[in-house]
Amino acid sequence: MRLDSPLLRACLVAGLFVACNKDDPKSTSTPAADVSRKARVLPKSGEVWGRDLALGLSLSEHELCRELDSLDCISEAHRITLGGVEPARLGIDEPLETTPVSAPIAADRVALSACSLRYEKDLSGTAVVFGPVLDAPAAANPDRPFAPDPSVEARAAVSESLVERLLARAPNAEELAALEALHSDLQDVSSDPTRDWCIGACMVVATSTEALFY
Amino acid sequence: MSPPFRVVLAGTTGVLGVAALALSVFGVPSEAQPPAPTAFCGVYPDAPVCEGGETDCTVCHTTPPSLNSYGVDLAAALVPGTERPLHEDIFLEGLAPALQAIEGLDSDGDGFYNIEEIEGGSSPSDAQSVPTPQDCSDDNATDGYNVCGYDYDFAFKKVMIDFCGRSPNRMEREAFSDAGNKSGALHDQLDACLDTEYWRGFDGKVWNLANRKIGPQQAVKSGRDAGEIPLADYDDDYAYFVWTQTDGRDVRLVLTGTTFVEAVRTAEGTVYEEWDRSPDEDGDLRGYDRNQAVIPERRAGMLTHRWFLMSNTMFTSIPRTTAAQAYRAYLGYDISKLEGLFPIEGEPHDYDLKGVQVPACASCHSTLDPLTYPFSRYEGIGGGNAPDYGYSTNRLHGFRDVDGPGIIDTPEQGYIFGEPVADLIEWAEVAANSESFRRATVLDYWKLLLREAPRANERGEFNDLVAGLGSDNGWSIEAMLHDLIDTEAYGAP
Repeated sequence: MRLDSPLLRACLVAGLFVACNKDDPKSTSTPAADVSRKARVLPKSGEVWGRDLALGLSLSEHELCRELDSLDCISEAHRITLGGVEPARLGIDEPLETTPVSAPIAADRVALSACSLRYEKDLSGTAVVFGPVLDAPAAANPDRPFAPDPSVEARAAVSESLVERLLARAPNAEELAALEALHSDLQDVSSDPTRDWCIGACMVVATSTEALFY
Repeated sequence: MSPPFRVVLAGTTGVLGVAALALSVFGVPSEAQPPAPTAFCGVYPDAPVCEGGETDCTVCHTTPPSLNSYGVDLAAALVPGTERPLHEDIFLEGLAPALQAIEGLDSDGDGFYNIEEIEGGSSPSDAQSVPTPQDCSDDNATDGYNVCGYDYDFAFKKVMIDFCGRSPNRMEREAFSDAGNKSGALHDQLDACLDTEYWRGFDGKVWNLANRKIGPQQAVKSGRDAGEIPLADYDDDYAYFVWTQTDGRDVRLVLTGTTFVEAVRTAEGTVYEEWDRSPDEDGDLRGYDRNQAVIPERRAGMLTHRWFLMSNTMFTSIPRTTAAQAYRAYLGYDISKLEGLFPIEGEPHDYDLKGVQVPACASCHSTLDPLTYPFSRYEGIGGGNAPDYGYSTNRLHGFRDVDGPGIIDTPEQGYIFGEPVADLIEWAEVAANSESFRRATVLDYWKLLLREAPRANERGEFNDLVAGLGSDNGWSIEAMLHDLIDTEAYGAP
């Protein structure tokens, strides 16, 4: 796993906060909305969430994330943390009853790795997700002549693709605005806002409540 | 003779009194319940928790005989000033006024009176459980999800995640949403998912459902991925378990089958192949660190698998741990929690001189020991006059030096649910045909899919599933699952 930009982390946290409150159109806080009779919201197991992530980003499950370049994050390194079991060696017969404090960290690491990998692959080969941004013409910027400044439309296309791929639905305007706002926040603090926005937007959607729970 | 109702007054009784109470009140027969749950529903017949005519012990207890907060309040209000333990008649007579006396209390401190919780279908002893809002209408549903009741789109997503191991993509969600017959489409999807590797494959969901029944320990595994001390291969147990749960098979085979199953991993997925060999044939083919050593006519499903005998019976003459694990894993009764106690008169006999006739021990061992006798002819790792992991009527002769000469008088006959059985074959038949087995089996899947036991207002749906397994659904787990996904508990967002 790699995390080249410390700024990216800060922005991701901010973006995640925004997204977590706005990502599910079916749980909007309209005053007249009914309250669920069940309120039985379940976390996806790491296996399911990882598969969703892999399918959504057109990656294979085994390349999604590896700790120390050797241990598969979901099936090995964070297996128990992300709701898995290991009865024969660890004696953990059932998923932990409560989510451990390390689970959000593990989820972040998996998502960061997967989103980074998708970005690198799109950059070096046929783009699957981030193409509109990568293909957009660079804006003139005397201070950073090599930094691309993709258009808002291109970012909207990527945002739409991310939500559709990872949440299996179209985004709403509020979500698109939140993801676009992440780009504005990055402009002044990132040395590579294109890359950081692509990976950050991907992480925001991939670690949203809607992606992690059902 | 009617038993005393010490359970509600556990706080005023000693340890032995509590144990005796459990013997009399919580020794729940396979088709019977103690009268308190029925009496409760006589007072609150329209309460959601009383769907099906009676509730269960958890209204007042955590794990019987321990009381929850509501039970503590009830105990205090129940014929105060009367000497404990209460006779059943006095208990029943005092129950209704006691229940009414605490209706205005908020036992769990969640802001709702007990009566509001009972009538609203929530638990009066669980602060996380509050009454369901009643002013819910479909007209108010938000963005396509009907939070007031069953929602097919929500259920479809859950089926995909729970049984297929992935979320539906947008195209699949929209196709389902547009389906003319959503119920049919949902059940078609379930059928497809039930055949996925995620659900029924090696190390899949059904496979891992057996973890607590099998208790695998890699260090003593033989066969694939063998440990340093290879004693038995639990892959046989996992494969057999999955086989019994799939393709519409009779789930009772878990306890009554006489064949074995191998999980063959192919490029297309795991294939379960049934096989039937004698102990010697299996030893010749797979080696004597893996062979299933019980002769066909003495087999009782997973109860006589090599791993089960190795890991539970080990070197014991009267293998109480084995019987207790069978009782716990397949019938839902944990004797260590005083569950499922059916004391047999004259027991425990204490054939192996373990001192179990001491009253504090006898309260459980009067059930456990006769429950265990049918297992006593099946060898574990060694010690008796029987082939390792095999069966012999003379097995106990090998334990005379260790457990005394009286050990050979231990009968093979025993009792389960208070019913006499001649041997383990009969034991398994009674167990497999009991409501306890159906209830424990359905509960396994309920908890797998909903991650908790049925809530108070879901017990009716749960009981219907239990009743359906063995009647409308035959004994097919997959048929039961089709009913389960139709419940509001599963499909209401």
